[in-house]
Amino acid sequence: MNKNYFKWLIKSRRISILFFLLISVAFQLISFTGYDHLHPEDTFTACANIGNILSILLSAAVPVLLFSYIHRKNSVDMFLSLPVSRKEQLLTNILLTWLMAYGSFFLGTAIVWITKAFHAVPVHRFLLLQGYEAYSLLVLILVNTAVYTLANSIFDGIVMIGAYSTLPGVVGISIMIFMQCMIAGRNLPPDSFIYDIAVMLSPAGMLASNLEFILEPEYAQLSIFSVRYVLLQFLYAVIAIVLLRYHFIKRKAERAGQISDDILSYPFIINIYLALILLDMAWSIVSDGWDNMEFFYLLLFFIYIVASFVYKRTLKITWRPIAYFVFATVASLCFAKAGWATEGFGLSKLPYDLFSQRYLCYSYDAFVSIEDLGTILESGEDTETHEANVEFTMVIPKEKKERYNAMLEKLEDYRRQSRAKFYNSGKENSTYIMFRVYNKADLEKGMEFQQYDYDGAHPLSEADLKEISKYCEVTVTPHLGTDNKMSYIDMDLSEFLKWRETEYKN
Amino acid sequence: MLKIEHLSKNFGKKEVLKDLNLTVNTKSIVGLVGINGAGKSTLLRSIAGVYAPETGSITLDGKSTYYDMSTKKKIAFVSDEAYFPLGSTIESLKLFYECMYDFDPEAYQKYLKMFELDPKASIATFSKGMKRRVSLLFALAIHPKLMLLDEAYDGLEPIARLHFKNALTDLLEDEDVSVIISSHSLKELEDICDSFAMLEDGRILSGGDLSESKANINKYQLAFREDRTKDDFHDLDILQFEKEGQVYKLVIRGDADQVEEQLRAMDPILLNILPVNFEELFIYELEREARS
Repeated sequence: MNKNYFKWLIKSRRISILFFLLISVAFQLISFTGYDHLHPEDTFTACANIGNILSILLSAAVPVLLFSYIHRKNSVDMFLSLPVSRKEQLLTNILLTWLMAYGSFFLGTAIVWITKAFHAVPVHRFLLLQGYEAYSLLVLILVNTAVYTLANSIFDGIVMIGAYSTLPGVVGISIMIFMQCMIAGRNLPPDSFIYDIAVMLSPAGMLASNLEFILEPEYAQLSIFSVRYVLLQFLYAVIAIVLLRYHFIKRKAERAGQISDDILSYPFIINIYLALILLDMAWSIVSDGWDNMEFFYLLLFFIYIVASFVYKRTLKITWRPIAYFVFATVASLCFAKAGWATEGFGLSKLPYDLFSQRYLCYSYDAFVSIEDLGTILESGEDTETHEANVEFTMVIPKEKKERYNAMLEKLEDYRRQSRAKFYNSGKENSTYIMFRVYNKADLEKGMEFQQYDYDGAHPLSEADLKEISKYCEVTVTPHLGTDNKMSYIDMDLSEFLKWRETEYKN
Repeated sequence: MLKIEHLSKNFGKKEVLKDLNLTVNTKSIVGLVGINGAGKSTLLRSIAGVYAPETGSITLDGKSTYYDMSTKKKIAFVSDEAYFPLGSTIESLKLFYECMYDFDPEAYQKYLKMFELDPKASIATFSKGMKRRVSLLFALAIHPKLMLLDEAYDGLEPIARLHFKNALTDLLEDEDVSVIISSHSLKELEDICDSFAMLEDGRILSGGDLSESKANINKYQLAFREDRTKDDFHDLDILQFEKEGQVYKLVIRGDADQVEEQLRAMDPILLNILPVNFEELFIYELEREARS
């Protein structure tokens, strides 16, 4: 840290610093408008959430302003010839950014805590919140600054911060699409780290998750404050420091205004986004068929060319990007085909724990023919007047599982058939049948564990449903058109069968 | 005294400065010349501490210009395209120099008046020449021990150039300052510099006292009764040989008296000695390098 440099930064930017601080604090104080004296902690939570979002934005915006001099040809000489070493410039800029980002959060939350939520939010929680926010914002600032210095112009720097910030979200979406399209039953336990990758790739995501737990532990996704996130954030900070050392402190050449061709800049960002989107499209194609996907490939190619133009600042369509795009498309399709042939790279066959919690639940939701609940309507048949919705949820307590042995065997066999049907039948044979298996610790709470969803399973026969109705209620809702009084009336299976034999057939 | 020893600088695979050595004495104004891409700006940036030396060292009075911040404080670096933040005025820039350097308010006022600049006017409205004057104003107001001007002297209007030249002369009289000016305008450099360094392909091709170097190269007009060829002058260091009718035009490096003595021994019917200017010196040196 350099005192003189810091003094100049503060003096020369006092108006903008004050502006940002006041705006940020003012936004946080908006939470006062929803103040409820019965729940003062809600006001504090709202204030902390607003403050957190604004601080995250400041942690990206302030480095862009403070480090813009390295991206301008005429300012780089002036600043780097200052009697302030690069390391001191870096530390001073980061300190000022941190003071602005965390300072505004602290001011806002402290005002609300002292005036409205002092008794509702315990001191230890307030201190944990402040400590964690201060730490996380420092990590974010380091990461954003490191990403910004990968580029060679202000515009590219902003693009890089945006691209790296949204990348975890894109990865998360890709994982969801992969699970949805390629894995029957999305056969991975919910606590698998795969579901957590998007959050773990994002320092801001980890901050948001842990902050949610600190502020509202009863509603949070996390059951405990994640120390794993804290350690990962530390790892990101270390990586950012290494990058900053290479790209700023020990930088060998100043290339302000030139194209941002560092390996981690556009070359990485364009290729990783292209790979992820191509894979997403490939998963969809192998599972659901082409279905106008040619248009999306054309659109993606257009976006790829535009991205290459933004990167290289020249619009020259040569055979190389076209060949590369075609190769990447074919490679992604082959990879997806291999994934489909191996039933989701073997992931759908992973062993699972049947009773991971106290209650094992089987849920069935099917749209079938009224005439025979074991068949689905053919395409072209009138679903408005001849269809029925069959539903049941069978809850098996762990301590009584022996009583359910026969049924367990039947439903697990049905599960295996559903998995096989997922890979063996095409989209044209898909059904409106959803079979779900999950665990619950407490029937009163919504939280589900070890959840597997099998879309498009085959319908259970009426004999099977009769057997199941001995263990739990099977609800049937006929769809008979809006004019019929029995339409959309829930019945249990025996009532339905009686009604079908009498009123419906007559 | 500025001392550069075995300085090398690479940008990727391109070696821009190659084992460069240069000494600039105190109270000396050095003209740094070279064709585009010779490495002038890289050398000045390296001296100013923008780039770390990859090998070798750059020291001012024995201390590194990159690692020692108290030494960096004594260096004023004015680049060709100086940076002025949006909406800045001379007054607002003053804060920057006050915080970062040993700023002299009296000198600032003196040069402000000399360069006829309005401290409250937005710099964005200034002409290119006026912007140069602003940069030079601050370079002079921080009392540097080393002033580096990267093409910042080019394009100054005659009055401003005169003012700046006077300011430099005053500064050199009063303080132990060294100045390095890189420029493509050799006529302007000749006017102000006492020594020079000629950069070619990342190396110092030649350098030293400008008057001495100029005195060491002269143009000779000769005429003889009989025909002569270049081989007849093989004892001399000939930089250029031309023959127009009976008149020979030679550019010869070497002590003027000695060369004249040698030429007179060849019994010419005409012998005129003409001095070369800095521009010609530069061209002859480059041509000689190209030939070798």
